[in-house]
Amino acid sequence: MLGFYEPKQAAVPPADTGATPPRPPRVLLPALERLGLPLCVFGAVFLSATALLTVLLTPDRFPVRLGERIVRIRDLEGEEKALVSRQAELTAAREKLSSESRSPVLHEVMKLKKDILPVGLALLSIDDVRRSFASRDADPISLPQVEVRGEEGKILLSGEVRSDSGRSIQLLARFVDSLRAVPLIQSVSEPEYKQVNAPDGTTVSPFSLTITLKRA
Amino acid sequence: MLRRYSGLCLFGLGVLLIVLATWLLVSHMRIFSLKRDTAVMIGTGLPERRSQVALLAANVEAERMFQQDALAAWEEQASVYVLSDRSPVPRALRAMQETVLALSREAGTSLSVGSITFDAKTVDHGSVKTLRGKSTLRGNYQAVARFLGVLSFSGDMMIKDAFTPEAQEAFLRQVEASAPLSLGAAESFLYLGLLQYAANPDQAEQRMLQDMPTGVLADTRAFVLENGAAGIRRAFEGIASRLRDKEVWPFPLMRIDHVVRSGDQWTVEFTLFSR
Repeated sequence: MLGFYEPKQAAVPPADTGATPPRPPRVLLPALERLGLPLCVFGAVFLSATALLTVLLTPDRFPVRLGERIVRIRDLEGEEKALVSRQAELTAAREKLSSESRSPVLHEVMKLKKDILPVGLALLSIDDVRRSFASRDADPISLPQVEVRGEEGKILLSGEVRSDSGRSIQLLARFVDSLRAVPLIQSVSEPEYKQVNAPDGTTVSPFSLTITLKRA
Repeated sequence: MLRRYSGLCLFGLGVLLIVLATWLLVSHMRIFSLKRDTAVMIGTGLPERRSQVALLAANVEAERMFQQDALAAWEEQASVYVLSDRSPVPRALRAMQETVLALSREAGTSLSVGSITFDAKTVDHGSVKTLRGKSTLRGNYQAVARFLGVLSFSGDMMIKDAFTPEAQEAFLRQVEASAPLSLGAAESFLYLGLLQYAANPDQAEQRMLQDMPTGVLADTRAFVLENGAAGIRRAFEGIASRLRDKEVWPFPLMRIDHVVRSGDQWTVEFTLFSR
């Protein structure tokens, strides 16, 4: 490696004088010595320029394009900070308003209402679904047995689906599916799908369902 | 010799300065890149945050105005009728009987009350007291479901009480986004009396929707109906005016605990709340 820097005359074979050949003069260290000052000056200028650049060209000063807007990052951050602080202020104001001692009873009612399930509305929705299967001539779904267990949030329904075209199982499946689409209902148990022939020529599918209501 | 070492030292110092400058430059570029990403992130979320703050400000303002005007009246009604410090029994009996009468006379359903009984003592839970009761009714499924549907709104006084807090927020946000000028009307709609709405729901909705752009009318109305208003319409259909005339609303706060149907006989167990 060092040989690369050696002067050309070093390649000439030394005269055979019988003495130890002289050591080739070193060139790398002198070169580094000579380079020292310019490199140091360059380094100092480079560092100063970079430091100046860092101070002067802060990212906050530069604009960014957001959709159709061009806005400086600093302004953007400032706007966000102001919005966050305004939001915190408003939330605190709202909490203060809602917990104010001027409406303690309304507050208590609201708290109690959260845990009360709208059992009656659920029964009404079930009836709406049941009636959607009725036509002018026939009301195929009957619900003679109903039990509501309010604390458990469950409605137990027993009844039967009647069809004069032999499709009572299909009707029952559609009824269950429609119940599952009711927003107040969380789940409906899968009934046993069976069909018996009634003496009047219709088919009847008795069923039992457990409906679980959604809690707030 | 000294000169030689100083030359080498200067070289080393020069290298060090260049490394330092490069490191400074690279970290500055990284900060640039990070800031840019942050700016894009902030910029993307800013319109939504702006809208949230505007909505919140409108809400707070409306609640403040409402508190000044009407909340005192609602609070008084709630303390007398909904969560009374006296026995809720007389009010509950009146409310139930008038509802049954309204359903059988106005809505043409076949429903009658057999008996209503109450436990001898209330149970004290600290801030509230409860009293359990039992009622026997005679009627078909539809009639009893209507009756229990009305009782589901016991304790509610304004339309907003029939909405979940999340639905209220979502409704106002939707209005703010699609028809900001109607935000006030939407707020007023939520604070409208429940029975006032039930007596004339179309008119109340029309008043709320009147200044909205045609393109959002259907969606807004559908949202309102799906999130609570349809239930009010369904339960009070045909009986709201009578209940209002008889001055039985608001009902005392009530919870349905157990319902059993045996033919046309229904047994309903419930709990009344008081202070």
